[in-house]
Amino acid sequence: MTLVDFWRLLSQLSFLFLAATTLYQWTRHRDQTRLDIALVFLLFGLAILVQYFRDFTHDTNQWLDLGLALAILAQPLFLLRVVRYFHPLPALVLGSAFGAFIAIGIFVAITLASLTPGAPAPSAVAIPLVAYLVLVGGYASFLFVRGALTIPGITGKRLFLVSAGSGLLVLLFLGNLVLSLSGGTKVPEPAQSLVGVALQSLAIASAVSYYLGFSPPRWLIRSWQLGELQHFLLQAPKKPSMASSVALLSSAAERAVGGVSALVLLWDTEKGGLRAEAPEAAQGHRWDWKEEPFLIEVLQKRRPRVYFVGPSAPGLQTAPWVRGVGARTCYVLPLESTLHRWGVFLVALRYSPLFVQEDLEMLTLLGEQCALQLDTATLVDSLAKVNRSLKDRVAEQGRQAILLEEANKELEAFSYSVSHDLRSPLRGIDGWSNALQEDYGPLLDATAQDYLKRVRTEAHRMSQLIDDLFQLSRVSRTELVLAVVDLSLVAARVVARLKEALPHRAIEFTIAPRLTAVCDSRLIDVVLTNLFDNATKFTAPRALALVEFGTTDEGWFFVRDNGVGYDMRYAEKLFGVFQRMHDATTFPGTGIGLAIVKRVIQRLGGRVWAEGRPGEGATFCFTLKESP
Amino acid sequence: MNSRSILLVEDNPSDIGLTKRALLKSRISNELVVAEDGRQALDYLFRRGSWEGQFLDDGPSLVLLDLKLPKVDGFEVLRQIRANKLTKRLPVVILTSSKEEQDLVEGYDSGANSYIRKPVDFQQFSAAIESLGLYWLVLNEPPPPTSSRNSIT
Repeated sequence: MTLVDFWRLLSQLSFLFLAATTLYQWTRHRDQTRLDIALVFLLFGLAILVQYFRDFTHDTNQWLDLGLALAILAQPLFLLRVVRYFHPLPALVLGSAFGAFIAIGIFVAITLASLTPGAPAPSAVAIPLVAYLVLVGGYASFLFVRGALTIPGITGKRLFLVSAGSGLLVLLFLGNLVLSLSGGTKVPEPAQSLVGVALQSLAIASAVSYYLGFSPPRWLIRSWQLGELQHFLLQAPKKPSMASSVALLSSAAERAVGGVSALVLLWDTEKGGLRAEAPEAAQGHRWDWKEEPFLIEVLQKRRPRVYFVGPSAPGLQTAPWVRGVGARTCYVLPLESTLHRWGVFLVALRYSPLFVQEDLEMLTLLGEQCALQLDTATLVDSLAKVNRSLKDRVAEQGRQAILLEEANKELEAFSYSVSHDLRSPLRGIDGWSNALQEDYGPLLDATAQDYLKRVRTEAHRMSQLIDDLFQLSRVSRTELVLAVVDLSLVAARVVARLKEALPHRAIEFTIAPRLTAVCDSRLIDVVLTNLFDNATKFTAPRALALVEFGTTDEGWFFVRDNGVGYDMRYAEKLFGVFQRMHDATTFPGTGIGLAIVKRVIQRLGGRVWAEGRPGEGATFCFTLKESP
Repeated sequence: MNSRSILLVEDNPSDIGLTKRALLKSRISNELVVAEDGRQALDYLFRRGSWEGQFLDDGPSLVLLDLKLPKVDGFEVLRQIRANKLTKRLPVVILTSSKEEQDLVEGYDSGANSYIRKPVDFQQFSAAIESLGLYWLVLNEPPPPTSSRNSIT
């Protein structure tokens, strides 16, 4: 086997492989484009197989030659069919190419028929054949180059490879033409085989280019897709925003599949329906997706779709847009991430898509990336919003704190002034009433004396009120000094003071030993003083008053008495300022004591409540903040 | 009993009257000099203003000082008394309506000898004045005069 033979075998095998792989592609996807492509190479393969068959059988049937010639001749015709997908061909062009195909076929048939069997075909037969191949193939090749130049992205790359393949093939035919024209001249042996090897190399290169263009291997597709994706990602702004991401998707989608225009429709969460976001021309246009079958399908099944806008495209609301941008085909894809369904995007193609599956794959990738960017943009947005509102809130709290501090200062000044300035006139009232009583007592009758006494009593009461109110305001203002406090000890001190103040009362105090809690000793003293005061006050009618301080099983502290008790219906009111449950004559008091208790217990982080029944005594329970 | 005067620094006429009455009832006969604001009190103590050049006693043996006063408040009066070497040992009793802790603290920090809260009840007030007089004018041994006029040089 010579080098030329080997090379020829290699080129034939590569075309057979091409035929097989394009056929395989068609069987997998079964679209018109792939069928057309497969047919181009099947004819090649057929021609090669026929050649083998003839070599094997040494058959010289000229009709086989005719078939062979026609098979090769039809190849550029099918190439032109493929061109239609990205470039409109006037019927005249296709018609004349077909007419020429028929004419040459007839010419070849007549020529072959006039030959005596076994005689070699004259080389003149090859001339119109090759001329046809060069002309039509060259024209198809030119259109592929034009397509490659006008269509960006992956499709453009593939068209470029295809045009390289067909260009090389045309060169091959041209070379053959030259060879057959110079058929008579004798060429020395090494040059001849060199020319042979060169022509076969052209054929192999053509097959490889076709292969890469028409049915590229996965890895090549992947690397092209990665290239597009990188292009898209590099353009993505550092600070993503909805508008920029959507605009980027629109331009990247157009570019990647060689579309005329891309439309991004986002869900309008407020008004419902889909709202066009990009390109700018379509912005704000709204679609009601419920009436758009393709959008429904894409949205519900989350699967991309392709539709063709023929003369009749009923119910397609996006069809006017597709026609408007001068396109006839439209890709519709969902735009969604795991977080959020953003909407759909559409890419319009001028004619028909050459490589639907690959395009959809690429667009899906872009859509996913864009959805992620949209997620990020909204997250960044909401984060910024949260940040702003937090800052606002902090500032507001700062202002509130200043206001509160001012209010506190005012309150302090107010209560200081109340405790001083209100007391002073009271002292005057009491003092001068006393002076009147002392100096002019003998001149006054009993009624006048009584009036004077009343004036003094009221003055004393007012003084007590001022003192209590002042204490109430002070327990809220004083700083807490927390420590472990022996409540039993505090209670004992309070009881000692009470006994001293009420020497004539028969009261039996019971104090549970070793009750401790974390609290403020001065404030808890205030609490116990008021509770014990209360208990002794309301047990006044009892011959033997019983007052007990202890803890319950739940750990609550309580002060219980056997006094007159109170009606549970008024339990709510018990702890209010100036709220009295009993008449002031029998049980004197300002009605502030329990309010003070409640205030203090609240400050200490606890709760206070009361239980009782008229005539059956009262129990005041309180809790303190759990020690940490 | 110490016979020197008592300086009452008090702006409220009613309280002045009541104090006078209480002193009378307690049979404290020392002359009562009344200053109705802080500046008058300081003028009297340091022989300034309307008191300048007048015939003068040895100065008061006791100052009864209210805290809330017009012009110069009680704490300032007290600080100036303590800052002046003529009066730095003068017994000063704060007599006020306030029971605020910060007033107590500031009063003692400024050098008060005693702090008494005026009771509303006149009988209690009277009793307070009486014991106060008894203590400061009778029981208490006053500091030796620091006035240059009386000091033996």
